[in-house]
Amino acid sequence: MAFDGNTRAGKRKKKRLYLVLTTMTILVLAVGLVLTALEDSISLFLDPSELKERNIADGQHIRLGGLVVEDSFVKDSDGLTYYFDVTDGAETVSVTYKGSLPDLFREGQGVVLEGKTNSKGPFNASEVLAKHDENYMPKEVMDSLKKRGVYRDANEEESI
Amino acid sequence: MGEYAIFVWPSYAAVIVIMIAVGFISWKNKNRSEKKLTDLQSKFDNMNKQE
Amino acid sequence: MHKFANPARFLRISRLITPWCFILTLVSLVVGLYWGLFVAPEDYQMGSAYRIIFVHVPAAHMSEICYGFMAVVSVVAIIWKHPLADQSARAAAPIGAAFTALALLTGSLWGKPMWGTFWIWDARLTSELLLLFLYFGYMAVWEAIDDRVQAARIAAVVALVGAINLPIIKFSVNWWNTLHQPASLLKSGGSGMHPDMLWPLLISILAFYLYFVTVLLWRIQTLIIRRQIRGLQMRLADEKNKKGLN
Repeated sequence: MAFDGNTRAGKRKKKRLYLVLTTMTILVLAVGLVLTALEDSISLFLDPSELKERNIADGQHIRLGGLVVEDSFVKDSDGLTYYFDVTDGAETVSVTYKGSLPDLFREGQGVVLEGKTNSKGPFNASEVLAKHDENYMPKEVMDSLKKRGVYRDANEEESI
Repeated sequence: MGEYAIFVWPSYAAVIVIMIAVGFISWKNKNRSEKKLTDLQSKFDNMNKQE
Repeated sequence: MHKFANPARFLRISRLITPWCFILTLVSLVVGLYWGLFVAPEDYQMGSAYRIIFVHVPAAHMSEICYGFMAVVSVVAIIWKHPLADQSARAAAPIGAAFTALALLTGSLWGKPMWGTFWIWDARLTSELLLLFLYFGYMAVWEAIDDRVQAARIAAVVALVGAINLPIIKFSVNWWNTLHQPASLLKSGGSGMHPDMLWPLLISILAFYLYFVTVLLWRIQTLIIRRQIRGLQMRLADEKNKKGLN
């Protein structure tokens, strides 16, 4: 098993080992470079700060991600249109949406919105997707945590 | 399970069906090749005995 | 290592192990899935929909472990040229493909009610789909190339190059904005799961590992025996030829 550098077979094994190592190193570097260059297109959504920074022309199809601001959610009298704000902690964007909301949609939760940019009015979402965090807890545990005031919304500590 | 039953049950069903299928096919192939090998070996032994 | 890698010895030892692995797989799978489906408490946000985690996470985890295994034995195959290494990687591929397909399918069934979509082209989902195609590509190499030595060499290279995708899948949720959430099990400051939900998940993951070992050993045994059959068939044909000449 060991590399016996003195035999011819051992030398060949060593050569193959170096070949594998160098080829893999070069490949990893190349892939890493490509992924870094494509970072923007790999990322699924922009957050409100990025949206403001970039000054994207109106009418562009984008995805916007952030947390639904507490107490910002309003249902229109027609029962189908929703208004809410989305924030990343620094910037906030107002959103209108007409359609059905996923079950996980809640104030304080992460969402990803699809729609066209519009600098004159609220962001008009054509699709709303809810993000889930990595925490799982039984209902009863959550209730008792809330009762004792121990639980602080996970979203206050870590932004998505 | 409530309203999510239509998502939970198919998930478990798919996992169990595919895992059993892959496992069963692998086990069956092993048995089949084992049998073929013993058949072949006895054929080989018979041939050597005849000489 | 060469002692263990002797195919005849491998066959003998693995035949002793597989029945036990099989029994342990059955027990842990029944316990893990029953616990997850009927005993574990509902999640405070997702209700019962989260129960898909007990099959989704193990399948997704094994889809990566299996390809990692193939990559490691492929390195052994390339450097030490041991036939057992090639056969181990070849035997593992269909199991890994099944795990990957299940991870994608169960994830999709989980995504629809919770996220609001069956599919989205985010970095995690896309790289996992790429993994499925890598498995198919690897298996296609063995099917398409008749010369065994050459097929083994090309397959090993495919396994090794494809392994670059593994850290991308794992860290996609940290490197880029994705719809998929970050890891719950291995995060800083312990797991993000309550122990009542964590235990059935860990048992289910153990069951998937045992399943992988059991089925992998069966498949490697099959490949070794088929090799012995080919050797015997060749000798048989040789002897017949000799007799014909005499």
